[in-house]
Amino acid sequence: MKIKAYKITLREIYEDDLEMLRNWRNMPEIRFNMIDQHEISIEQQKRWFINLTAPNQGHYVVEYKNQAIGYANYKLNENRIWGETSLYIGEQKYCGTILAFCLALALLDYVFLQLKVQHMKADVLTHNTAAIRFNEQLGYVYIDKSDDLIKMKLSIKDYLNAKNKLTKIIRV
Amino acid sequence: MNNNEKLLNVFSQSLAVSREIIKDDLEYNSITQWDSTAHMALIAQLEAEFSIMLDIDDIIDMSSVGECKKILKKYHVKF
Repeated sequence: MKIKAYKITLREIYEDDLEMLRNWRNMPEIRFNMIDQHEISIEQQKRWFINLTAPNQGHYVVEYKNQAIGYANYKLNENRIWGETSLYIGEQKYCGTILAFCLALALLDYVFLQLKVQHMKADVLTHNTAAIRFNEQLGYVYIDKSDDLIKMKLSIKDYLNAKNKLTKIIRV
Repeated sequence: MNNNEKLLNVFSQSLAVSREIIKDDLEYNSITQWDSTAHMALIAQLEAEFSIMLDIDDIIDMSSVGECKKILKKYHVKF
């Protein structure tokens, strides 16, 4: 199944994508902001790929203008009340652009409006100020903070308010 | 104030950087201040300052100050 919205296409991951995804995931600037900062080996990547069909989750290659530019996923809890998303733009040309917002909007629309999830959570490393600001723009609010980790939460109400502001610029 | 001055002000305010570093070859993601969130603020301010509505593809292609000028020219903003 494909998700198409905000100029972005989220498509299923094929075995041929694995090395591209692993290279992006191992880039220092991406790994540095991951909670698990270990480099991913080829074997680990293959094992990860085999488990992608687990229930209550979706993993996607992100495309813009038919070019693979990044990766996104959602994972829901067992009763599908809440979930988490993870995303990154790996293609250098598009890092730091508003495509990250296009991607987040496409994914959050899907989990809130199609899957009817009630709220989303996010754990962000304290040093990752770009992701914290990014999440705030999407409507996430702080729920807890420690020295190295910030816990955030997004209700559908806060998301729709944030989306209303963002789509005044991202008009598609 | 001419359009070059206006553009400098918009970049300086939305990226929270000094006007001195805003040159045509300044690219997004080349400084920590110009990330996707700042890019959103930049677009909002550009649209307000020049009374235009940018197409989403132009927003994504706006990869440097020089590229921004080229794109704004498409919207009849003269530099």
